[in-house]
Amino acid sequence: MHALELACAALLAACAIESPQSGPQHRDAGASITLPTGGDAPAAAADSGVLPPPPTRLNPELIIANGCAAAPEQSSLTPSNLLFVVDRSGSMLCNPPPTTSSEMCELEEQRADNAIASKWELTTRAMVTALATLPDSTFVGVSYFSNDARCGVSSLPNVPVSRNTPAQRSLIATSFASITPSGSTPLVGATILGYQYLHQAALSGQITGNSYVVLITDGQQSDQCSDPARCNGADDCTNLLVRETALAYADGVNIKTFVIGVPGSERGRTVLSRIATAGGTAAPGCSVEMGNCHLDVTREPDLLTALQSAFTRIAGETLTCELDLPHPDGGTVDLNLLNVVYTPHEGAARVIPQDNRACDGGAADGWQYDSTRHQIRLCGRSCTTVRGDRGARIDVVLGCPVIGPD
Amino acid sequence: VNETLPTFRVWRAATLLMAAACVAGCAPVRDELFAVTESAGGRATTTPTMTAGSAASGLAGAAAAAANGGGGSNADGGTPGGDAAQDPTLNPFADFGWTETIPGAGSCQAGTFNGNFSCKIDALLSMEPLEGSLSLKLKGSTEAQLLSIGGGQLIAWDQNMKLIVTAPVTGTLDCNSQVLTSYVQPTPSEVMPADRQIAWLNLSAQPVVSGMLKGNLDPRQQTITGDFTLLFDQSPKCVGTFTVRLSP
Repeated sequence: MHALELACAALLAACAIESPQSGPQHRDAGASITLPTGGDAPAAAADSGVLPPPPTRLNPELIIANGCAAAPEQSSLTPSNLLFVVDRSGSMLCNPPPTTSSEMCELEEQRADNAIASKWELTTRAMVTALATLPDSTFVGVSYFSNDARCGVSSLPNVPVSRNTPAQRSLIATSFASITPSGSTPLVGATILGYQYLHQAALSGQITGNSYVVLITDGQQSDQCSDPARCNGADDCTNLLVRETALAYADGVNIKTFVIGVPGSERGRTVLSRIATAGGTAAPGCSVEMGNCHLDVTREPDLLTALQSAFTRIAGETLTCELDLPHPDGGTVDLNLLNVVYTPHEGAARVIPQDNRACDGGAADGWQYDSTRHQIRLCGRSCTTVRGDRGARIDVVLGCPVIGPD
Repeated sequence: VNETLPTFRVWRAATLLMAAACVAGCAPVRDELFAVTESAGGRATTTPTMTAGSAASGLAGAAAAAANGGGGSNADGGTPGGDAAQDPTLNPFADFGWTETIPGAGSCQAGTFNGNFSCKIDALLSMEPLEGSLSLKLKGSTEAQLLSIGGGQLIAWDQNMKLIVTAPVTGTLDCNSQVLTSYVQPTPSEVMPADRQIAWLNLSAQPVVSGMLKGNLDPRQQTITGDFTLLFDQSPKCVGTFTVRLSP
């Protein structure tokens, strides 16, 4: 019992020393994290007698020059990986409404007016434009369904996911241009195999960050494109896809699914909304029954503009402003002693202050700790500035007391 | 800042002591302690000890690299980065399955389909079996909706393995319906022995052979199976089945 008492006493003593300056701790994948203690943290630490009192007003230049830094770690915005799973069925040949109604297109899959772009051509244009606006750090790829003018699908994309360089964008544009829409709509198999591809790439470490499937279709699953070992008929297979989409969105896989419904998908609105909802991208306040949870461009008068708007929204939601926490040799990350330094492509480095005001659409302009994702998140203008700077460098500097907003 | 190091040492010493002592009698404390120990163990909790000088050189160098247009390790992009570490939070057992079709190996793949047929002669005095080989060369692009038989041949022989006919086969494979419709082009047969002429009730020494094949493509197996009919002049008729498979 004596040893037990001694040990417990020692433990309590240790906790008493550590807790005032450390705050609550929880585990991260790579390090333990000491959460911020608030504005009076330095004073509390000083009272404990363990830490030397930090400067009451830290000069940002000191951090940039590493006058107090214990460990600078170069960081970067968490990359996004987008796999576009695109419908190339025969109906994509049709002109969009009002030239050819979706009903007419179902009866006759052909381009009625050669002077007017087809749904496929408009999708191609919108894609090419959207890719040009995404940063090079984003990874993009394209998978068409089908791959054989019938029901064929493959986990290997037609253009494998790679960095969004000019070469990759050119590859995708060329690929789109080489396609003549034909065949059925095996969207279930194509989407499921898209999850498989992205998940395997993440497991093997080939991609990191946040992954997304962007499903673009002008219809619904074709009855004849079942996989008898797994499902039979359009309804059964679609139910399977909804389950798989939820699995993809869940922890451990973390793939979100956006769904764009092109004219022709009107009758599939409910189904496409179910997929978007299961995939974590449902529009706020939407209703699956109403079929308005996905990106429905069937109601818009100008398909090209509507598609571009949909891609813009996806880009806005997929381009992250998140930074991974550094893992300094498995050590503690003390958020009271952490700063973010932004070095623009052109210009002098500056410290991004911590700002814990509301981030999404709020007043915050700085960084804050996202306890759910265990990441640093940039908010407001800090986010847009860093995200828009292709040559930016971000350093997470440990060891200096955190700088807050002015 | 480095003063936190002794704190860690005290905490760790306490942990070790507690682990040794708390064999029984302090389970609630032990559970909490072990949870913390797990956090610290393996990923040992340390406080950064890099000196200000070395840190300064690190960041200054990095800033200089950025100013020079360097994009870090990401700049050499291309295919997904090979040096990226796997995310330990990923579930390696999550499985997404669907039967795949190798690109270009779908329902309408051009190539040579080889196989055989069998049928039975439908004559009053004879029901002898007839067998033979089929070779169909399907031509066209993968994206095409209709493949044509650019070179087809049927070879038929009787149960005594005596050659009866070698005839060309023409036709098409509709990629939408996955239906093969083809014809054995009218071709004079080999010279028939008298006993067969009598048995078949066809007294022609070299009856003209023609026929029709109608089958369905199985895109996953790349096989075509269907019904087969061969005519010797107008009679007798040989009705049976055929199967051909895409040759590698």
